Amino acid sequence: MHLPRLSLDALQPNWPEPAGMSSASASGTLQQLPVAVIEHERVVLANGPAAALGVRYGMRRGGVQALSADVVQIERDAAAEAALATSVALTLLHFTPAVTIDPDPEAATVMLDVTASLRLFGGHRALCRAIRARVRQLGTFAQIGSGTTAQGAAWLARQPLRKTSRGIVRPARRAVQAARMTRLLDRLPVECLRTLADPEWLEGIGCGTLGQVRRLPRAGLSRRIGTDLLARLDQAYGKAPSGFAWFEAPPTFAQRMELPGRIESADGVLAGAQRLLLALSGWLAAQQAGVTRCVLMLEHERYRLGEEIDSTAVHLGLAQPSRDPGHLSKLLREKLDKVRFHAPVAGLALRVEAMEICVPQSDSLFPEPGAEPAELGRLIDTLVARLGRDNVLQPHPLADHRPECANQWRPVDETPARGASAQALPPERPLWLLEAPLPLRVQHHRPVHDGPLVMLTRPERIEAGWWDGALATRDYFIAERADGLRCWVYRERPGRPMRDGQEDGGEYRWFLHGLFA
Amino acid sequence: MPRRFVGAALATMTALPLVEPPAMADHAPPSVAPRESVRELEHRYPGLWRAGQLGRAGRLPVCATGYDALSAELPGGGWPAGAVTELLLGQDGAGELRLLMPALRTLAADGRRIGLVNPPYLPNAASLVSGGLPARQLYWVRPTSAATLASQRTDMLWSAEQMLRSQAFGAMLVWLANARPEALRRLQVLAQAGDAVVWVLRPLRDLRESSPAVLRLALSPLPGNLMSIVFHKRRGPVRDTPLLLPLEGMAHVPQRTGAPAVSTPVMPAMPVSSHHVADDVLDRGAFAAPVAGRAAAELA
Repeated sequence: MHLPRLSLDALQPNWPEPAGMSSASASGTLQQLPVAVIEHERVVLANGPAAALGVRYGMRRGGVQALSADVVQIERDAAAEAALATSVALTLLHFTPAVTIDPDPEAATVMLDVTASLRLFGGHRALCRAIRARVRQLGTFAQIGSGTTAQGAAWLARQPLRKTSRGIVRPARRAVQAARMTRLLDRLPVECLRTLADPEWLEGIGCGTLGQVRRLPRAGLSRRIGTDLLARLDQAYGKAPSGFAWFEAPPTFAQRMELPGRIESADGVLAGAQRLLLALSGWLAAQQAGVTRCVLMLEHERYRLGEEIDSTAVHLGLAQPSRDPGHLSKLLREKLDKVRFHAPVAGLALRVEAMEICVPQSDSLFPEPGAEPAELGRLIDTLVARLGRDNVLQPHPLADHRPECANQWRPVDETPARGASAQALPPERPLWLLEAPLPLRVQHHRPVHDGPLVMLTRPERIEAGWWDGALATRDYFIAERADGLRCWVYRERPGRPMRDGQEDGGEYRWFLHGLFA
Repeated sequence: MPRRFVGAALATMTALPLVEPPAMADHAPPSVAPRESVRELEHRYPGLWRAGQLGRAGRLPVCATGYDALSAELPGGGWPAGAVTELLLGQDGAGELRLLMPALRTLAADGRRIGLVNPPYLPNAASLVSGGLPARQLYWVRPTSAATLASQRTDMLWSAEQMLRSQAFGAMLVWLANARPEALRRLQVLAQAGDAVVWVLRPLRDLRESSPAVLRLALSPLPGNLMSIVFHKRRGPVRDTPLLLPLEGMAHVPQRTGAPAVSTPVMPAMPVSSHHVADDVLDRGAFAAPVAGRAAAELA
């Protein structure tokens, strides 16, 4: 897979635009402007508008300037290119563990051995589509060539679109059978051997295509230009084995990236974080793991307004390990929506804090409706991300006589304490409890809650809690109002001081504590 | 399964004791020929029902209510699954949970999860669990207390949507106050995609708003462990008198001494004026009121 625009996209990420985004907001970036990337005073890459103005590979800076003053010239940044290529390689670990980056930085090529992945990802074409979509989300474009040998596929991938009289022609870049591979390679121009031999010299001896080079006598050729070219040709045609240094995922995941501009919105940060999340997903696939806790640091511009601003940390916690970039980005969106951007964000860093082994679930032949635990885990994560951990609860009833202590709800990810179940419960308990008991007025010696209450039961005395300072001395009744509403009321026995220190004057005080809903 | 509303059109054909819209009476076809075609229609579309009869049992996915008297009044004989049921409450705590407990228990026994979204009070964990709902299958979602009321409302609607969309829940109880009809429609559409039983509990004053729910019941408590259920909308004939249903539980709690046997409506407790009546004959307001207890003066 070849990245034709790597050096440009590394400096100016070209994210797929969200559908709703108007072109006005995009015009601020460099996408519509002619741009040329320059290294050692020579153009290495020009984008579409610049190429239309006549900017070509190898042109001098002055020449570009002479063509048009509008062309934006950017210095090439090898480190940013390497970082993007690493992101791409990490992301593509999702598809196969055998990924390698072409050591030659000029090549801008990532090679994948997909022999074992074709069936899993639904065949050759589906795999190509999936790879192209992932790379597109990283903010760059991919040209994909496929073939029976890595070197050959790389050369096929590097073939640019050709402009002919009939329009733009896409060169054939796919070969599955070895015979077609040989045919396609034979037709390639010698231009692709640029790093191995001087293409003009080859054309000078009458070789325009690889096929013609291959037919030259081997001994003479190796004497004239060395054995490198022949060795590489043999590898491409599958006549000699080739060895690769496979890309190895780092043992821990911590990646950072510069954002192209100063961003102050959740959407902008999310678009940037997408690249980190995709790389994370590929990295996790290589580790056979899923992330359970990670931190996204929003790095702010330093020394803004004369003071250093700490970066903002956005913590992401998951109940179940996951490596689905869609799910992670959904969670991140919920989190980012809550972040107040007190300063523009200049860079992002993603760090994994905890992960767990996570084996993707097998598809079942007859999926059970609503019973997939992974679906529930994703849902819980989403809810927790937006509402907070304390607002998605499960009952953990405690054996305590005081109803407010027995009614325990705990966050979903907490495991219940052992032996804390309340099995032998007193018979009648309401289904609703009030957050705090509601004091009731008393009229004619009866408590009133929007109407006088009539006691249906005899008192149930609860006297507990002397050991933890929350002493309750109450007589509970089930009471009914005239319209049939059944309430759970209690009277606090007189003779104990009220909360504000006063004596209660020997009167019963009535409270509403629950409703028999 | 196609669900269609054919209320007015079929009502004229089957000669019901309904108020016929005058416009439809003009081109009412002769009564003999259409019988066959109507029967054929019914056969072809299981979701089709005559306005004079309840939706047929066995055709609709339902969840048993646990109350025979109530099941007999519901289309299909139970709470509709994959649809929104609206319960309108004059006040919270009217016995709505005890009404639903048998159904929840059935669903929980099937291993389905139960979600409580934004309940008005604290659900009592101990009585829910001892009432037969396993703790591991029970989820309570509540809004962030720091948020504003409006954002709490959107949060809760969003949560309900997410929970419905995940199809991980077999039953959902959603408390919505001041919800717009669009919000309810969204829930109804999402519910149709799954098989969850969704109850939306709203205040009684929301009755005057139209609702996409397939079943609308108004609940109010009555003395003596009874509940009065008014059918405001159902796929079936209009029932003007409320259903008085003895609720489960609290069996050993003694009745109030001298409480009269509830048989005759004494006075209307809910002032529902006639302009609340929707123009759709199947979605009409309450004419009859639930039975009220004795006057307050009597009890003092």
